[in-house]
Amino acid sequence: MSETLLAARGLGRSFSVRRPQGRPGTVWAVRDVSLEIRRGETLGLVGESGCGKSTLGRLLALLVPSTCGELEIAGRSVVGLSRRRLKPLRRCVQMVFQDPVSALNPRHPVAAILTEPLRNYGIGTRSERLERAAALLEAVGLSGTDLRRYPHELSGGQRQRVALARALILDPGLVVADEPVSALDVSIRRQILDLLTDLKERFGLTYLFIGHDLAVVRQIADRVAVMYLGRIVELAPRDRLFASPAHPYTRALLEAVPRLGTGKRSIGRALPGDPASALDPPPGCPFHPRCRFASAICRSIRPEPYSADGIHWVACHHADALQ
Amino acid sequence: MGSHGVTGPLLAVEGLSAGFDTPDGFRPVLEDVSFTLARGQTLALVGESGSGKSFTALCLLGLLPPFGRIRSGAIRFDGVDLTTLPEPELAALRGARLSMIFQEPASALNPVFAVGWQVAEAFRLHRALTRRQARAAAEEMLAAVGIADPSSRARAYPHELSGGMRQRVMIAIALACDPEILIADEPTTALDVTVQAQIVDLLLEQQRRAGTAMLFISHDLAVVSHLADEIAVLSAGRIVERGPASRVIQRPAHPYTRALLDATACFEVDRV
Repeated sequence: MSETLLAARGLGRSFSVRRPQGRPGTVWAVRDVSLEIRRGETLGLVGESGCGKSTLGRLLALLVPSTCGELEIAGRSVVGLSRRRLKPLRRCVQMVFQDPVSALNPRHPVAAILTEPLRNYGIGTRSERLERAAALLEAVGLSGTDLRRYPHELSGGQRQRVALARALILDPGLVVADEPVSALDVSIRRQILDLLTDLKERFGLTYLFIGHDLAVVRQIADRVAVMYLGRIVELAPRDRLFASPAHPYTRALLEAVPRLGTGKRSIGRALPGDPASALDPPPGCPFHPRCRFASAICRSIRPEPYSADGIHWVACHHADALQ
Repeated sequence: MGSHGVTGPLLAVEGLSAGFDTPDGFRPVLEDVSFTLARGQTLALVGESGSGKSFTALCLLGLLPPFGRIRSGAIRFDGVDLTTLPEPELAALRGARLSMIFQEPASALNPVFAVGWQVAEAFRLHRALTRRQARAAAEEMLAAVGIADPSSRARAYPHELSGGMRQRVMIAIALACDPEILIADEPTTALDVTVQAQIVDLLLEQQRRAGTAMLFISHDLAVVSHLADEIAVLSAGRIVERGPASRVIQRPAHPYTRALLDATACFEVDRV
């Protein structure tokens, strides 16, 4: 259970952009991220749009190379590997995307969508591949006869099931699920979350579950990491994080979750403003312009992630005082 | 406010049936939908995608897509049946007394005009203001919806603004002429929770201040419970349950409402 499947140290990814004034600039979408994903766990990754959670997911799924830092998967360093050396490792991490409509090729029947990864890795004969595809379709709650269907013939929930089957067909250890239920109806959401839990047990999977909806993440994650402006600001076991959030940003996120049956009134104390631009991150703590606890030190010195017990990590100068 | 001075609800939808004309005949989307909306109140229309929530809003505004048609029923707004109103009179109502905000501010705003211009357009169309007056009014409106530095933001184009800011701009356009009814179609679905909380506050504040009645369309019962006085649950084009918000959420009578509540992943009322 506690064996480390993936370890990132100081991982960063920058992109060159053109600033509004036309001068070139650099955006650090992910900056100085260190984390471990243990075999068999579900790590939730939450944050507002633009905080870099998808980019981090893509980095860990080996879809984009990192700019700096170290990344190990199953004990092997992946930084600087050639495409050829990377390919066998890519099998170990597969991805499920938010929008199953754009994730599936509309011109391919389900059979071609599911067998493509196997063909890509030269696995099995044609009939073996089809057999494996049919078996996985059944594992995700569809039937072998759906192999002949095209994505447009499937409902949103069914498409996401196909996307899941495709992610599992190479027998990966880690699945990076980037907002896998955000595009689905509420009633379908629950089904797909239950399916994710079921598949995890049956195939011995590990998940990185990226989401902006904290209520959904709370249902599925064992540990939760909170990202803000490219950095992880808090990481803790699920119940710890939801019961006693240490970072003011995590608190604000939790307060902003609407609750059933409250009566007509505000949703908590609204966090003012928008996140700062990643093009011009503020000095000091990235969250200080929106933080009601910010003091002089927050404006000048960036807090490093710190943990008193090695379990609950937080990057905040005032975390101890706030808890 | 209402020039007709009719007592009773501001908006009454009675037995509305609507749908599409297709080569295979008429395909209904809404069947026998009835509800009322009182001044200063919020009615939430709740249901899954495809249940007819947005179609209802489009019927109210007379903005049905090609081949869409109201087959029977009435939509009485302040005593006048909108289904029989000629287009020019409807156009005069839209954006003035009845306005709408959409789910996706990125596609609802015009990408080639500065946002200030788009807010000012409402004033130019419905209030005979000059360009300069309209621009000043637009900046005031942007400030009122919580946009900092409105005079420089007014010159920004939609792509230069964040999602939350764009939604504020759309709300500014919708509220520019102080409408009696604001129809909000999933206005927070595309937004982050923190921004969603800001927008909910903005809508609550508008209602407190101006008494605007709201038709709030959403699939998210948790958000709805922060805004609604009444809830109507739509399923496959029919209203299966309607009642005071607290009753519908705490004691749902219809199995579909119960299923929807069960499926809503949410935090309970007790605080973390």
